[in-house]
Amino acid sequence: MSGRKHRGSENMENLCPITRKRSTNKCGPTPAVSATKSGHYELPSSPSALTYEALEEMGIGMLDSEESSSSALSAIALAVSATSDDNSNETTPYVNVSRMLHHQQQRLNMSSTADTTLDSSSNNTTVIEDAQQRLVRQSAEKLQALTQVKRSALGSETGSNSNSPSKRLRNPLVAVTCNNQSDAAAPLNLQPSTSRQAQMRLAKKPVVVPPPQTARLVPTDSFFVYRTPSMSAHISSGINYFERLSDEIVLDIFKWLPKKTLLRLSTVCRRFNRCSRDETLWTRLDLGLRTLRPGALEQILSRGVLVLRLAQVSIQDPAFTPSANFKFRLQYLDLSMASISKGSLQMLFSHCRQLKKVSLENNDLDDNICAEIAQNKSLEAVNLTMASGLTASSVRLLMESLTNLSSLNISWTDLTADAVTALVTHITPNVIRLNVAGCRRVLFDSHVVTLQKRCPQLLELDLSDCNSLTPAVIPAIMKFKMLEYLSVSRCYLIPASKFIELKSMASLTYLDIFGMLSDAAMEVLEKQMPEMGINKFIHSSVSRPTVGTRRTSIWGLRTRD
Amino acid sequence: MSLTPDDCEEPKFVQLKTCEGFIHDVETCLVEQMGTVRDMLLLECSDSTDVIPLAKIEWWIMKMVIHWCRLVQDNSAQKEARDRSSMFIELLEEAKGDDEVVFQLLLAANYLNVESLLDAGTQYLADAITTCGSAEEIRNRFNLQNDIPSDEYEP
Repeated sequence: MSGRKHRGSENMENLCPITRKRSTNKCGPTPAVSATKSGHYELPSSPSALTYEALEEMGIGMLDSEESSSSALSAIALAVSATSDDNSNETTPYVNVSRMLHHQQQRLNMSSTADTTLDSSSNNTTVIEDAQQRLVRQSAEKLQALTQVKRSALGSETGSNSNSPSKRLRNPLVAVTCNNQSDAAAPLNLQPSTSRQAQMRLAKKPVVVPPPQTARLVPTDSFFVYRTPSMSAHISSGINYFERLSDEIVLDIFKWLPKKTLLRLSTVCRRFNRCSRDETLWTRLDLGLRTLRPGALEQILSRGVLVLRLAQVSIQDPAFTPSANFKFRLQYLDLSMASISKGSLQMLFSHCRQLKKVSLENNDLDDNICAEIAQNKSLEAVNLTMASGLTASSVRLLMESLTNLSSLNISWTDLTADAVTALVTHITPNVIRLNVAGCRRVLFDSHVVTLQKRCPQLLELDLSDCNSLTPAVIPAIMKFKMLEYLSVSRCYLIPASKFIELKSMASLTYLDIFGMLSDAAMEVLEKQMPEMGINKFIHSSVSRPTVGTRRTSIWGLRTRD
Repeated sequence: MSLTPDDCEEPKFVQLKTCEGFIHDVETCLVEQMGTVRDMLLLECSDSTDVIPLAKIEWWIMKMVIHWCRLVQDNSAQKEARDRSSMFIELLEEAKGDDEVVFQLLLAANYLNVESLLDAGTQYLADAITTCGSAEEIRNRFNLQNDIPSDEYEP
């Protein structure tokens, strides 16, 4: 660098007074930049160094009058464009603007970091910052040209080794520092140059480029991204502390955040995207009463949700893309009153193999869906209240497959007699809670007999509204030695006198016989069975995910973090 | 590093050496909050008078952590998360801390396994994240770089 300085000072007499002063100061500040500035004419490692070196080498001058323009950028553009015309014919003004930009940016960085050596007043910082920001904005677009710059500059560098005096008139870098050092208030009053070069430059127009939206640079094939430390220091004004934290700590931070924020975080940066998708953050989710866009359900389930409440949700088709071929980790699913198409439902269950409890209350089913549900061998509780589309074959398949089932609610499903037969014949003995209410005219005493033989350990049995049951069913019921709850509400064929026989069942604690007796008869019965809780439960809770007004949990599991 | 014999049953001290070689004398009851040190003490003989080296902690962070442990001890009646986070904010303001301090504290809390400090620090940062409106604001606040290619954006 010292060598260049000498050369520059040789031609001082050609410079205007102010630029002359600048050039002596120029070499003073040590650049805060890394080894892009070297004292040698080696091939530069980065384009910024290239521009600086190359331009210095070429002794690019600058028209002083252009410096007085408000845009330092345009001034530089003029300078570079004219200069490179001297040096090489291939470069375009546009290209050279970019070259100068980076280079001015560096100079500005340098000068701002080395304030003590320059005579800059405090007002200059605003000038610097404005110019810098302009440059930062425009530099993002100019990078593409840099590759060309590099190539062309390389070519021109070799050609300009002659160091002709005319070329080393003014150093544009000098002009840059000129901006920094001048009074911010007054425009730069530099004497216009009368050289031939200057007049040529006057004729050129600067290239005005619209500033891009962000200064962030995305690498693509056609250009590369580089950033010197001093540039980085000004583009992102701080240190990224998150880099120091381990993923574990980042997850600890994210665990406090609501789901909406988690979704927002996934668009911040790659690391956040990865961390915000961690399955520990998405174990439970409550989307009740919402509408899910097509594909949204797949996104949700892909995050590994374990407990999902979709009660009264409207799921738009198509809920799944064909490419979804991973199994969902879903274990507890509440689709009560949800509006979802059969195709989506089938796709949903085809990906679920770990379900433990599912509620499909009021859903439309078909044989395919039931076949997929049946594949979840670990199902313990199934709620099919008011579901439609159950056939004898699907019921049989479900009962045969779900051997771990402990509670089943299949009430009001319009089962046929065959379906009921299939149910009681194949139901797993593990069932301890069963609700078959509403099987009007299809559920007979014989079914209860079969059921009792199949599941002698039943604890809870709801036979309400099975109005084909006759008094002969009572002896069969009495054989349930562990039954604690029984409902035969509105089974009108059974007379009141029969209920008293139930008193001898030691285990029976609760009896529901709604709609059977007049108030007077009820009083009599209560006197005769003082230990029995009569008509205590209006609604069945067998397999129901939410009981009463509590909506923040399903089957006792929290749905909100 | 001050003597507070009222707080502890046995005013025994433990010596903790931070990475520069600075030795802190900390009451044992405060050190009990630091999981890492607690485990180290369990593994070694309890009568050992060796200095426990903590190579990843700097002295000024150590001081803050000790201060925090003392705060927790003094306010052990109020164990609620909200109080803890306000204690954390007080601690920060005392030390005139910025982001750097927060993250260093978090790393120290993780290393020393001080659960209360870890919870308070993570909650503090989580609050900072939620107060940011958009992804761009979050990036600006924490100086993060958006390195997601545009075709990978997901709703």
